Amino acid sequence: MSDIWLNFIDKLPDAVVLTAMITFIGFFLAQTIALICGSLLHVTSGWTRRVIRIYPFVFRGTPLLIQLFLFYYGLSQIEWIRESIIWGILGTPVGCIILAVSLNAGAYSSELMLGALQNIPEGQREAGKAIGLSRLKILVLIELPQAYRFLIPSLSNEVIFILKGSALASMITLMELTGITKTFIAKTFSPFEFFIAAGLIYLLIGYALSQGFRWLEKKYAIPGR
Amino acid sequence: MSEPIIKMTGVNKWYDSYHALRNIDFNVNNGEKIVVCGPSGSGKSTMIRTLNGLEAHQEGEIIVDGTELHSDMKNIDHIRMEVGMVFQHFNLFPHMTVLENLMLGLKWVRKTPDKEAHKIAIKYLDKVHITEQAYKYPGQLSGGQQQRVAIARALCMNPKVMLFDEPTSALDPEMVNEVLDTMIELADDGMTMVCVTHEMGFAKAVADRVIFMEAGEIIEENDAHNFFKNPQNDRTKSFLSQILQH
Repeated sequence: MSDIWLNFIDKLPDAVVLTAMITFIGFFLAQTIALICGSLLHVTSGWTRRVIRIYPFVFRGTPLLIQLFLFYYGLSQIEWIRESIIWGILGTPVGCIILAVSLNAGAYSSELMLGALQNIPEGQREAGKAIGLSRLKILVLIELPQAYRFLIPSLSNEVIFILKGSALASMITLMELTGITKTFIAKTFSPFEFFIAAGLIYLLIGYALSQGFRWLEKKYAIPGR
Repeated sequence: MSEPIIKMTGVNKWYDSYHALRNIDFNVNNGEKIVVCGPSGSGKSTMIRTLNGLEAHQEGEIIVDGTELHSDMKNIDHIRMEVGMVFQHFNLFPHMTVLENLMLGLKWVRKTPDKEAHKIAIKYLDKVHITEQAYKYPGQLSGGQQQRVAIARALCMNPKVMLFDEPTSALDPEMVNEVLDTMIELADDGMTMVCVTHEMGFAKAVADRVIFMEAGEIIEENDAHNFFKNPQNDRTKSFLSQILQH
């Protein structure tokens, strides 16, 4: 094997760790957003609901790359953000890519969460009310546990979506899996070999994640259903 | 006679322009068993669903256990604790075992400690003769078993009144009796019951009074014996002849 490939393999671990970090933190934040936003959409109505809906409408309807560039180049233009504590995170490329994928995937997931909650038969809510449970307790004890079981297969899609989205981090100087690949292509002028290598690594990570969710799905399946 | 546990006076309800309940006057005394019957769409279910605030009424007064139900529903949780409800489609929580279904209200509404909640749940599972299914999930039970679990779930809250909304209508014929038997046992224990049902055998066996509704109105109200033997209203007569034909 040539030196350049050995060099590539040498750089891979750090790059894969960065990709994994963006993916996991992004996924965690996106799911947190989905839990809150999806639940709010579910329990609200009228104008409140329409206002909340602006978020998934905007973030689902615009390209992730544009959102990323807006955060990366745009946020620094706003003085109060630049002077706030969160600038320590948002001012970094990693902060920007995580923010962008979380908000973007969170918008998709919010709608999925809403769909899963609304998929639960009305009788479930009524039975909860009939024994005197509050709206919040019905949501937490009855609706969400069922919604999540319904959502597990799509969570697998979500995390792969974020994994692939993390490749855009290379556009804002980050040396994650795609970023490192591009530098090696620039050095060697052999795009095929390196892009195929990187693609295979994405495929492998994605496959491992989807197997993990399949395991979760089986573990939490409701007996008799 | 003490105050009735349920008191409906001049209750009206509309769904938009549809007049679902018309001037309902209806009392239930402690320990009474009432059967409500009538053709579908007559407002029977709507009526009993107003009694625990699952449906709101627009006019009139509903007093349950001394508390008036308001449209703002601030006092609704108190009433729901005192009123148990059994639904046509059981509505058990599919992600919880039978035991967890029973303990949910005890733990989160009555704030009963786990150990005691467990004891109470087992007691009522015994009562509906289904103790051996405690650790199964609803999806693993037959319809009749599920409905008995639903009855036990309501009983766990130690309600003063039990509402039954067509409890046997969704069951396969061979499972109707096990549920009716459970309800008869409950009636024998002195539980106050309001049942929407077409099971006229059950009505004859346990009802103190039978109410016939049509188009949102109570058309006839009589003690069970006279209701079947000597119905007054023509609509009641034709309904009974249709339902008792076979």
